[in-house]
Amino acid sequence: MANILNGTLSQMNLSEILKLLISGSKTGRLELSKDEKKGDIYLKDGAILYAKWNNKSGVDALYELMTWMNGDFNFVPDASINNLTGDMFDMGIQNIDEWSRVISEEWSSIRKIIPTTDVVFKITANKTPKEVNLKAEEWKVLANINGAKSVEEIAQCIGLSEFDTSRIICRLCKEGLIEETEKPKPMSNEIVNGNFFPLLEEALTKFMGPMASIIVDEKTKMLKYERNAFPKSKLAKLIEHISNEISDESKRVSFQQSMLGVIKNI
Amino acid sequence: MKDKLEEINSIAGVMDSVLVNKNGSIVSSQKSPYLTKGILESIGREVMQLDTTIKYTGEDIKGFDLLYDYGRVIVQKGNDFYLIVLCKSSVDTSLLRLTLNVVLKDLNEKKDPKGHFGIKMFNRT
Repeated sequence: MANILNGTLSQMNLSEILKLLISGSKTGRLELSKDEKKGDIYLKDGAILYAKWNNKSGVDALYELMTWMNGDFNFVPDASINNLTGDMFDMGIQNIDEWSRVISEEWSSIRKIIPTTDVVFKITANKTPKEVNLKAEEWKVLANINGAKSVEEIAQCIGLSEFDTSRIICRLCKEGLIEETEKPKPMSNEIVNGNFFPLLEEALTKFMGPMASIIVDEKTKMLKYERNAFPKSKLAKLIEHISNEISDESKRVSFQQSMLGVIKNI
Repeated sequence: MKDKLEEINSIAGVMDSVLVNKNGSIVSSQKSPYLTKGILESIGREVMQLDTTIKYTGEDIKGFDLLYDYGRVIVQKGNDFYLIVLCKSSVDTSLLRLTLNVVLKDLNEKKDPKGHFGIKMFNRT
């Protein structure tokens, strides 16, 4: 079946995509992916009937997916909703405005403290916080706050979503336990040299043609770095994001293989 | 095959990697300073059972990532085998995933004289 709608969530957010599918009375499966995470939302005649992410389904999964700020989406029309397990939305959801509003309000409150998930926090040294009770997940986050790991890295380490991790960090911050600190700047020997990006573009051009340069720029900016100050530690992540743009599995792995060779020699 | 596991083990944060067949028996592993053969076999069996359980729910996944307090176990499924990587939480997961994709492609394409491994490409669903 031909795909009629695909792209990245940074270009079009999930609520906009869902509104489009609902208004067009579409039936099918909206596939969402971010790094190695995958989620699905099923629609029938313009109503959301089912959502799944990780081991969650129903409201929990839809809520989680709605919080994604980046990742890829792909709509597969006419996908069957048979054989699905977990919570179904009996009445179907056709109005997602309320969902978008709640999530957007939560995000904007989080953004006041965590403008991007690239921000780094450290344990407060000078203030004495009052007695605080922490839940297990909050303790896990706090144990990972070390003045070096970003919010995104902490989320990855403990296996929580960026949204949930950000929410916990906001609370820890408000309680006076942690505070934002400057991200450690990469030393000059930790920055990739000028030869890397031309090599990357050359390799990508073989698979993506003239779009290569635009994709490299877009993904570099997405990671909040510039070409002339790109840390070596983020190279694999950049390659991974870029290779997700190559839809053919065999070509994608070939690109990854050629770039792994380059990374090792840097 | 050992060289492929060596490539994975050379990534900072990777403690060990092991290749087990669909019966949970070790096909290939590196000599680990951390884990004995018995422990690796036990992990292999657990992974196989977990995958079988997931299949019963109607899902067919290409791998899983198990998070523990002191590290993670990343499993990638090949045609006739599981590639299991034990690593610290601090591992560069992007670098590991890129390496696993490449290694998995090579292993899937590798013709085993005894016919124990498939030679088809690994299918991403």
